Amino acid sequence: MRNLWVVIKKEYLEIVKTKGFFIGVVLAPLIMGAFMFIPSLLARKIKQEQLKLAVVDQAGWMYAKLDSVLADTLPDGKKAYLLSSIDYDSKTFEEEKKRLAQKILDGKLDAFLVIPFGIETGAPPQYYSKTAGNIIVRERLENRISDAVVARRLAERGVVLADLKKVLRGVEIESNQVSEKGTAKTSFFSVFLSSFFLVMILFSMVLSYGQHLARSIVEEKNTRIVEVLTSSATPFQLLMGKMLGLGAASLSQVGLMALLGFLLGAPALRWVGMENVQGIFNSTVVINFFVYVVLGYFLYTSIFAILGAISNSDQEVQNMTAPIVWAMVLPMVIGFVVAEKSNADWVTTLSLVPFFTPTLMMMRISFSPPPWSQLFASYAIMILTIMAMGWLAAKIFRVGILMYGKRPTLPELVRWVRYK
Amino acid sequence: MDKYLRIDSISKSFGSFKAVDSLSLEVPAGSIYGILGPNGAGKTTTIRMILNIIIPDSGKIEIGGVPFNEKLKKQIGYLPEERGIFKKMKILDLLGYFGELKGLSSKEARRRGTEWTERLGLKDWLKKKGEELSKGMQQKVQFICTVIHEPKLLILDEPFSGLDPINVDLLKDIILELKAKGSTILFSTHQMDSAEKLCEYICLINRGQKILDGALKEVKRQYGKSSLAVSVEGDSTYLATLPGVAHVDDYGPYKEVRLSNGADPQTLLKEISNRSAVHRFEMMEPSLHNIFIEAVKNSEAR
Repeated sequence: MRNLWVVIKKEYLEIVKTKGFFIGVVLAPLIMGAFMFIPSLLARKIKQEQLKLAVVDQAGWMYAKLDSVLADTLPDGKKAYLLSSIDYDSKTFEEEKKRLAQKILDGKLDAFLVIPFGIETGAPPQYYSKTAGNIIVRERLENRISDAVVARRLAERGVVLADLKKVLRGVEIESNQVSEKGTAKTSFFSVFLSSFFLVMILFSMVLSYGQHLARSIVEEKNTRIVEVLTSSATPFQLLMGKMLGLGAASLSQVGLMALLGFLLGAPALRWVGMENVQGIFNSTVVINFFVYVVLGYFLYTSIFAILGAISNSDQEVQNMTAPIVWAMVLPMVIGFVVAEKSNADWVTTLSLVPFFTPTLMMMRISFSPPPWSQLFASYAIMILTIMAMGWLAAKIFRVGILMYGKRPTLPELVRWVRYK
Repeated sequence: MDKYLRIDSISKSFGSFKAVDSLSLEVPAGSIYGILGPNGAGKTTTIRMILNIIIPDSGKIEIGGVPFNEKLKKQIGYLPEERGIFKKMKILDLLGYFGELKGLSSKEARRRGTEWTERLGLKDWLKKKGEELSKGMQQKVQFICTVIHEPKLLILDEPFSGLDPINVDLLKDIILELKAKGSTILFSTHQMDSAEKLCEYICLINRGQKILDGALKEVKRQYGKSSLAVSVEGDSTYLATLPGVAHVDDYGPYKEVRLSNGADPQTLLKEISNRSAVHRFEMMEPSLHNIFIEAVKNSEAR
């Protein structure tokens, strides 16, 4: 028992004392958050610079309209679009275009826009700038010009655009998630993102700690330290010590992340404008997240322990990691389907397969919490599987750590398990 | 004398290969015992069976009068043949870890570890990581791990391989000191000179079988004073062709000449002095080296 404690302590401190541990606490959620939120965040930040735009209005009526509809202001109060009108002269037009292009290259101008004759009948305006695809600016201009053109066409028919908009206004459905705790407004997209976020953290925790376990077993094998260790403690103590020590380290990491999330999550979400996500991290989600991190950790690390015991190099471990990654990624691949049909029979069945349970159940819980009977069934199935895998891992570990050279074949593995 | 370790006809096969074949030996308490043998003789397999790392197919092993059990592990120190320490772990932490596994408190393990590193000239490296140490230093650290809990039984697999003469002597001194404190020391080697200087008892094994064992003095007596140290002026290659000479080993300054059974050294002396000036002609005990070679040859001829 004492030896078990000594091994747990060593494995735990070895992880927790590293800089990587704390970097992981802060960085992992940050990177994952970045992947999901940065595109929308960036999009909002980009347009915050003043755009100097010259307009050559061949149609003759557009510039005046544009000047009034592109009146957006920046946070600092400056106008978002600084428009200047260039008179059109068919004789000097080509030279004028060259002159404007030069101004863009010199940085005196950001872009110029040519509004063609016949824009009312579908001739496309031409936009010239250094960067061909500033999506936001283009979208903005497109919308405003379209509105102006449509308004003009309607005016010719005696209709006011604002009236038509009122007539044509669409209907938007607001989603409300019903649970024991009452109903709450949600949006499909934010639920999907946040469940994906949790699943990614779970996945990266299990994978990185599992690989660490396999590597440390291989290191002890290759340096023959394992012989000294087994002459001091039993293989079972060594294996359990490693799994529990690393498990405690991974829980500490997730715990610190949760604490950080609890303290900083709300302001951070408000900053990116996704306050509505907050409600998704309710107690059912959080409790189950920790349960599945623990269960998933033990299930997968018992497999990684077997990998380590039968491998002779990190390379071999790496090669055999792929199937494990597939098993964990599969639920994410079918994520959108699960999200839509989170209570379908086949989703229920798949989510009770122990290797898929942690990721699939987390997604299901986020979308529409399954009945507790199913959750408890999944815990029970996972615990039984963990016990079986742990037993197998202990048997293989005991023999494997002292075997060098060739990786064992399946019949050999069976024989190892049968050794007394 | 009390036997601390008793091995009773153990055998171990790997597939069709018999690594150890009904081997028996008895190690007296407080002695230094050498298991000698050529590469692949079964030395390491025997040691691993003593440590219960692998289980013998048959036969039994007793340490201190009892079969192997977990409690015994605290009394044993083991240095495996292939060396290695944790690459990323600091030396002090490493010594603390191994000491704790052997039953010391964390504080005591670190105190003793620090003492040992002072003695072995590694004190400045306590806060360094394993990978920063040279191979020789790593070996010394591993040796400290083996002795930090003052084991009753010290098992060393090829302890001197890869060390320079200064460190070999340092280790020998420590081994003798531990013996004086009452430890029983079992080590394997194929380096006969280090065995000859340290061992009181030896067991010679080849192809998994014991060829001879006993007190080193006894073994040497059995082989008799049938060796000669000979040094002559000029070319000495003819020595091997003389009648009565079984074998010649060249040690540089002198040759060790093994006589064949019943040959008379005086006849040989006359023969040699007829051919060249004799600088040295001395009756001596056979070296362990020669006993080893002869015994291995005999066992293979059988």
